[in-house]
Amino acid sequence: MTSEKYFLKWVKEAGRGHVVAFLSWGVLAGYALMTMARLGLDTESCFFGIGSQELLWICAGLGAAISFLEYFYLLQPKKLDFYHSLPVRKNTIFWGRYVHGLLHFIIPLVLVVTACGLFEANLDVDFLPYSSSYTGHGILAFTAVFLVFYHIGIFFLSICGNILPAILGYALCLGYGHILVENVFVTWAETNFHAYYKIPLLEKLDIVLSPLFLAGHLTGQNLFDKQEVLEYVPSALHVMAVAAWIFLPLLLFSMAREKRRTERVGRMFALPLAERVAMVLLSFLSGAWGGSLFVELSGLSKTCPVAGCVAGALVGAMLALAAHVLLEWCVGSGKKKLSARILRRKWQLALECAAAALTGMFFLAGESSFDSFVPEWDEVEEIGVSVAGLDMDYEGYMRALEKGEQYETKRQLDKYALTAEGKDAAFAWITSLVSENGMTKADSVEGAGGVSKVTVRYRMKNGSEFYRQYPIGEGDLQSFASVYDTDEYKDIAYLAGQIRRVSDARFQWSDGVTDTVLKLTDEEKDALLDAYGADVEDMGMENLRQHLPLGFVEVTSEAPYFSNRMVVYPFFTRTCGLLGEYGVETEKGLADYSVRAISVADVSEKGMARTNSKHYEEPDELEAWTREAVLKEFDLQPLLFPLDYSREMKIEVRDEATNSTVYVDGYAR
Amino acid sequence: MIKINDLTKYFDDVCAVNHVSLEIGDGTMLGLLGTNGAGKTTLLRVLSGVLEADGGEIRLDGEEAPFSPSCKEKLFYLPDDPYYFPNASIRVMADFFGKQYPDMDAESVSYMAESLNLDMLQPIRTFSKGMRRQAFLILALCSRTKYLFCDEVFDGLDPIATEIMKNLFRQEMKAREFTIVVASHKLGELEDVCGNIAILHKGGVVTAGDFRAQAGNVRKFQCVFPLKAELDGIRRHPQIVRFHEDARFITLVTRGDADEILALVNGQNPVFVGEVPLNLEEMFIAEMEGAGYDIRKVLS
Repeated sequence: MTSEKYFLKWVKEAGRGHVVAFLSWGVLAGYALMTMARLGLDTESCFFGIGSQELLWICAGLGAAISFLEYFYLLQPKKLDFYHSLPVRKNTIFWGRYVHGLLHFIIPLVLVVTACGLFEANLDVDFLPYSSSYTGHGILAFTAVFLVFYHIGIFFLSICGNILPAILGYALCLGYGHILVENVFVTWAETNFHAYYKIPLLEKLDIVLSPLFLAGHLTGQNLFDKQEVLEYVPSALHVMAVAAWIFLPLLLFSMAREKRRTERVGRMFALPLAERVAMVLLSFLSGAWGGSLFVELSGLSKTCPVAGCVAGALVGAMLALAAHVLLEWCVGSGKKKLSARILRRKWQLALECAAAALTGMFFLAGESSFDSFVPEWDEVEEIGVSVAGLDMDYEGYMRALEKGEQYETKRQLDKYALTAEGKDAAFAWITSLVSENGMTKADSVEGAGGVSKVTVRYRMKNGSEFYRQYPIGEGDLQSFASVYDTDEYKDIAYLAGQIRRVSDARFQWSDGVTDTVLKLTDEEKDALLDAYGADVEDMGMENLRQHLPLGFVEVTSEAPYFSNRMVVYPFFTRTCGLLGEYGVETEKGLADYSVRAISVADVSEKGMARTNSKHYEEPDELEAWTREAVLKEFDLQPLLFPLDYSREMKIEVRDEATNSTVYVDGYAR
Repeated sequence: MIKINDLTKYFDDVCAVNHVSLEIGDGTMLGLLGTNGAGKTTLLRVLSGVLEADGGEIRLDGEEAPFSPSCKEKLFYLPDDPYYFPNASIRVMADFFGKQYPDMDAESVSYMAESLNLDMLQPIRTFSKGMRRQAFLILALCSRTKYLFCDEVFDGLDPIATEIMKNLFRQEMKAREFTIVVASHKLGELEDVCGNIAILHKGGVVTAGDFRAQAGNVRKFQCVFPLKAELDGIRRHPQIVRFHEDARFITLVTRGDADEILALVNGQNPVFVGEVPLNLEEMFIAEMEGAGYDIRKVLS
C-alpha cells in the first residue's frame, strides 16, 4: 500500500462514529440557515463573514471541540494500547486525525460562507462589488480562528495526561495573557505611575496574548458600519500574532507528540518538561496577580508607594510559593513526601518567587522616568490634548473624571490632535506642567486641590504613541489659554474654517427651544461663515468664563453629506449682527417663550439618582425658575462656566408659532 | 524469533522492567509468571510497541526496527481489558483488524465464534467478561500474526472455554510457526500449555526456561513413618527441597542423588515409601529455591 493510501485510510478511520462530522456540518448548516433568514430581512447590520460574532464563536467553539474529540484518545490508556499496538505509525494516526478534523471544518465553512455570499449578492446591490473579496476574507479569517483554537486544543491534549488539566490548561491559556496584562501589569502601572493613563504597548499585548480578543480583531468584531465591515483588512500586527498562535502550538505539539510518554497518561502532564513550564507559569501568575491585587485593595501605595510595593512583592512571593506547593501536591506521584517534593526543584521555586516579587518592583523602579517623561520636541508629530470639562457637557465631564475612562477622553484626543502652532503651545504648556506638577496622581484631582485633569497623547514621528495624564489646578487651567487661544485649537473647537462652502448647504438657527431655517443666498452664507471665522479668531478662553451660548447655527448638506454646528456666543458680534440682518432674534431665550410648567429634581452627587422632584405651574414661580434655568444644550464649558448641577429641570414650553408644546432640559444657573 | 537484550523500562523512579534478557524461539509458548507489579504487563506493552524502552533492545526475527508497521504486522497484542469501538460487533472488529493485518482470516472468525456460541453481529459491549475474552482470543488467533502477546490470557474464562482455547492455541502452534507470549499470575493456567516459563519479580527475570527439562533431578516421595521415627535428620538434609509433615504422613521433594535420601528414609523403618510425579508448581518451586529465592516472597 502506498503511503498516501495508507494515510488516507487513517484519515477515514478517524471519522469512525462521525461525531466530528455531525457536529461541524450540523452547526455550520444551522448557522447558514439562520444567517440567510436574517439576511433576507436586513443586509445593513447582518454580516455572514467578517463582523459576524456568531461565526466567531462557532469557529472558536468548533476548534476547541473538534480538537478534544479527535485527540481524546491520547488520554485513554485502553485506546492508546489498542492503536499503538497496531501495525501503523503513531504519526499516521495522529496526523490522520488532524487532517480529518481540519477537513470537516474547512469544507462546510467554505460551502456555508460561499452560499451566504451568493445569497446576499442576489439581495443587495451594494454588496455585489465586495462579494468575492468579503467572502474570501471571511473564509481565510475564520479558518485562521479555527486553527488557533484547534491547535491550542491539540497542544494541551498532547502535553496533558488527564482531561481535567487539559481543559483547565486550555481555559487558562485563553485568559493568561489578559490576566497578566490587565490584572498584573496595568494594576502595577496604575499603582506606581502617577501620570498613567494607558500604555499602548500593554494594550497591544493584551490583544495579541489573548486568542479570543485577537480573533475578534482579526474578524472585525469592533466594526458596526457596513462599509467598514466590507472593506475591513486586519492590521499586520494582528495577522502576525494570529500566525504565531497558529504555528507556535503546531510546532510545540509536533514536538510534544514525539516526546510524549504513554505511561504518564492518567497523570496531570504527559511530559515532564510541560509539568515544569506549567508550574513556573502558574506560580508566577498567582504570585504576581496576588501581589498586585493586595496592593490595589489595601491602598498602601497611596500613602507610601515604596511600602506598598514591598508589601506587594512579599505577598506575591508567598503566593507564588503557595501555588508551587499546591501544584507539587497535584502533580506528585505520591511516593515521595510533599516536603521532599517541594524542595526537589528549589531553583525553580526561587525563580518563581523572585519573578512574582520583582514584577511590582520593576514598575516602582520605572516610576520617576515614566512620570517625568516628556519626549524630544522634534520627535513629536502630533499632540492630542483632552482637558476634562472643556468643550464637553457636564455628563461628559463627569465621565472623563472617572478612573480609566476611555470613550470621552479618546474622542477629545482624536479631535484635538495638534500638529502646528497648537502643538508647540501644548508642548510648552505640558513641559511646564510636568516640571511643576510633582507626583500627584491625576485620579485624585480633588484631594490634591486641583480642578480637573488633562490627558495628553504624543504621537511620534516613528508611529509610536505615549499617553500621560496630569492633574491641573486653577493656575494650570488659566495658563492653558495659551493653547486654547491658538488658531489651530479654536479652529478644531469651533470648526470655523472647516465648514465646507457648498451651495446646497442648509443653515438653521436653533435657540435651544425652536429651530428656524435660514433662507440665505450663497453670498449670505459665505458672509456668515466669514464673520463667524473672524469672531472665533478674536475670542479667547477667558470669554467663556463670562458667557453662555445664545444658540447654534446648524449647517447641513445632503450631497456631499455633512452636518456641523456653529456655537454662537454673545461676544460673536459680527455673527450676531449678520444673523440679526437675516431675521434671527439671537437674544431670544427661554424667558421669551411661554413657559407652562417646570419640574425641578434634586440630583445626587454622582448624577445617578433624581429625587425630591417638584412641579411648578404658578406664574411667579415659573418666572423665577425661568430666570434661573439654563438649557442643557448650552452647558458646553462645565469647567469654565459651571452651573448648579444638583438641580435638573424639565421645562414645558408653548411654541406659539407652531401651536405646539416643546419639552427642554436644563440646569439651574 | 524474539530476542530481548538487557531491556529496561522505568516509570519515574520505579524500574518496571529491570535488565530483562530473553530469547523466545519460533513456535513456542512462553509464560510470563509473577505477582501483581512484577512487570509482566509492562514487558508485553514494551514488546508490542505501546511503550518505549528506556534501555536495551528488542529484535523480532532479527529486525533492528521491530516497531515499523511492516514488522508490527507480525504481532498482535491482546491486553487484559482490550478496547473495542462503541457498539462494535465481532464482525466490525474483524473487518477493522482485516484492514490492519493482511493475513486476517475472516472465515475462521465466523467458524470459531459459531463454535463458541458467540453472535458475530451482537455488540461486544453486551457480552459477559468471559465472552469478550473469547471473542478477542478468536480475533487474535485469526489475525494470523506470527507472534501473539497476551495479558492475563485465560482470565474470566470458564474451565470448558479455557480448555477449548488451549486446544486452539496448540492447533495453531502445530499448524504454523506461531509464537505466543502470555502473562499470568496463575501458574496452574499455564501448566499444560507453556513449554517455557519466565518468572518475573520486581521487574527482573528470576529464572526462565523449560522447567520439566530443568527439573529432571528433582523427585517427589510420599512416606508413612511409625510413631517413634526420628525425622530431624531427613528434614535438615541439604538435598531436601521441601519437607511436608502431616502427622506421620510425610511428603518429600528432593534434588540431586535421591539414593542417599532414600537410605536415610529407609533407616527409620517407614511403613510406606513411594515416588509420585511432580506438577509444574513443585518443579518451579524447587527450581526457584534452588536458585536461592524464597518462593513465598516471589509468589505471595
